[in-house]
Amino acid sequence: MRFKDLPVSKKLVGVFTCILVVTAALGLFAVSSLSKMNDATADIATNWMPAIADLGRYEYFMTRYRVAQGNYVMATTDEEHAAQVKNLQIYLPQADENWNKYLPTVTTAEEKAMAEKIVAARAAYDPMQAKVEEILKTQGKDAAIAYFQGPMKAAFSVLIAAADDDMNFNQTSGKAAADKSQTVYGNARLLIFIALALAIAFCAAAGYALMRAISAPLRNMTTAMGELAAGNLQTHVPHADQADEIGQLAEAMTGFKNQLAAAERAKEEQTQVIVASIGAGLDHLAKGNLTHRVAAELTGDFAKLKRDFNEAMTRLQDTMKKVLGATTEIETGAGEISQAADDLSRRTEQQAASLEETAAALEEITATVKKTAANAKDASHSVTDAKAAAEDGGRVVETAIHAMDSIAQSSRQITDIIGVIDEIAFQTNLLALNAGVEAARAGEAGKGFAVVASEVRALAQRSSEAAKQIKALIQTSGQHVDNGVKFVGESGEALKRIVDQVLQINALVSEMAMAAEQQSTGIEQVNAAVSQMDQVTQQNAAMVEQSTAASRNLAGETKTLSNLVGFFAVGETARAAAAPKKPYARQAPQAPRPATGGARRVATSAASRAASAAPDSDWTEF
Amino acid sequence: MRDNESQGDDRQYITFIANGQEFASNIMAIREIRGWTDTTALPHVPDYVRGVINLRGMVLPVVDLKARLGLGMTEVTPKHVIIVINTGTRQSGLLVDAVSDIITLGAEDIQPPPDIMHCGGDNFIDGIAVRDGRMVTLLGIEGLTVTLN
Repeated sequence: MRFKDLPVSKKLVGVFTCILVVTAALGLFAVSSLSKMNDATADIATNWMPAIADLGRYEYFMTRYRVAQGNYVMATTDEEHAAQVKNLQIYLPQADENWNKYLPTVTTAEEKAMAEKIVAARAAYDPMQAKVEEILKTQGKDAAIAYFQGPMKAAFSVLIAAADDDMNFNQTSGKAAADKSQTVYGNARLLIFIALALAIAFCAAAGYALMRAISAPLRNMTTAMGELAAGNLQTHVPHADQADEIGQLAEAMTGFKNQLAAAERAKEEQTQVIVASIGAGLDHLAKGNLTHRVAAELTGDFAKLKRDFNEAMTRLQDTMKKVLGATTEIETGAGEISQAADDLSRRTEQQAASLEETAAALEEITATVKKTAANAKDASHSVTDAKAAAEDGGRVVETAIHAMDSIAQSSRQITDIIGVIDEIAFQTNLLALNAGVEAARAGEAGKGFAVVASEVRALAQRSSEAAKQIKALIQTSGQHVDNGVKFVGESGEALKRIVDQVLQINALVSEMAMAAEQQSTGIEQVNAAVSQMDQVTQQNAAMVEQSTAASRNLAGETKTLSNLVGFFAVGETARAAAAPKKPYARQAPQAPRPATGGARRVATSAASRAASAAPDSDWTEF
Repeated sequence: MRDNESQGDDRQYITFIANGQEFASNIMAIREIRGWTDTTALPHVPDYVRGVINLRGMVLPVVDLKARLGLGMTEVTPKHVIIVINTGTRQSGLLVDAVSDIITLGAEDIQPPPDIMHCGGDNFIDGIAVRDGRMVTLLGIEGLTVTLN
């Protein structure tokens, strides 16, 4: 029960914390196992493996050194000795270098002892080189070889054996480290599997507990809420005894259920009030009482209903008041319409009289216009005659021009002939002069001939003079003829212009005649229109009488309407305002009516109107 | 009348007009009077020589009197006249405006030209006669045409 009472957040946090702890422990264990494996592998890689390699190389170079020593001892010439001494100097430092590389990897005490052994063997072997060189120099080659194969070989074997031991030790140690790493990996895998199984089991248990504690109660609550939503207010709300959020939710739901039930009851009461108050209002409306208003206190949408109802009543009341007012005005209007109809009738008669006068005047105009048309036709005939006369004049002028041209032609021919005569006179003169000259040359014998010649010359001169005079005369008459031609031409032009103008006059006069005829036709149409207007005016007079009767009927109907509207009670203030207005409105237009009616009766002498005027006055008193 | 009285002194003259002025010439120097015919122009001659004409097979130079007197060229028309002059062996033509008359003059009618005219150039004025109030200049025609030869 303790877990059940915890809040949902704490439940969730607790379960997830446990899972986190298990996962973290598992992770830490795996990390430590991995680091152990890593240490072993690093030991193999940095300690044992390089030691084996360095020792191997050391041994190799020492062996080469030994071979070089052998060759040195065996050498026969000085060059070979020198070459081998060079080799010795190369190999020994290389062996020392590898040995120095190896020394840092010496870790354990056992290995240290082995290393010291190697150092000791080396210390024993190194001086032997000097000794063998000495033997070679002092005792000869064979003694040196014997020393090289004897004590020196034994010392070198000790050194190599010690190095091999050390190498074997390093190899064995590396393998031991690898085995150790393998073991650590196996243990760690087993432990991690166990821890994983435990974590899965724990998580499953926690999930089941959470489901029991949260999901199941929520499902029950959902079912209960569905019932409530369906309207079942008697539903039991489960899990109300729990102390967590679900318990709180159940309590809130119980409160909600109780509130819903209370609201249902309040709504029923409200409905009762609404039906009662609105029913009463509608009852008043049916009886025609528009002053009633709903006074009950209503809430929510029903308040709006009340407001709307009251507003509708107010509007209706106002409208009815206005209808009453309008009815009164309609009565007034009907009286005015009657009077206007009388006036209209009188004016219509005046109009008819004016129309008759108009018709008479139009007939006079028609006669005048017809006369004008006849005159225009006469003028047209006269103009045509004038035109013919002018055209005859034109022909005469043309003939005269032709005659003048002939004269001018003859004059020119005469001038030519005169020229010939003049020429003959000139030649004759010359001949006479020549004759005179001949006569003078002849002296006394030519005297008579000279006289004849001078006579001929005088004749020639006279004929020349005469020819000149005739030429001048002909030129003058030619000029006169030219002038005559010009003047006759001008008079011909003038006659042509006269003809043209006469033609224009003729066209204008014809147009005038046509226009006069059109006017005549138009005036006849106007006449017809006027008579039609006369007829229409008569019809209008009849219609005016009908409209007068109709306006009286309208007044009667308006009274009926007023009575009907009076059924509605529209409140004291409205009735007080409308009541005094009515009599004034009705009587004001009626007062002048008998006076105008009387005048009209005298003027028109219409019996029917006198008859209709009597009920009119009766109705006014009513 | 005069012809009968003093035959030796009287002479016949032909009067003609050039540049509006009346001139006269001894009739005996004149061969013939002709109407104007177009002339054939000659190269390298004085401007008063109008050219030559063919007179019955004889080539005859024509002198413009107006130009010869230094008064400008004559505007010729068919009414102008050529006077054919006979100077010894040579004949030549003289272009004038018109021939007026044949007159007879005595020695007393003729006055010598004023001395002032002898100042320079050729002297071809024989004298001046007055007839009916008009001045008639007597020309020595031979002198006029001498330069042509």
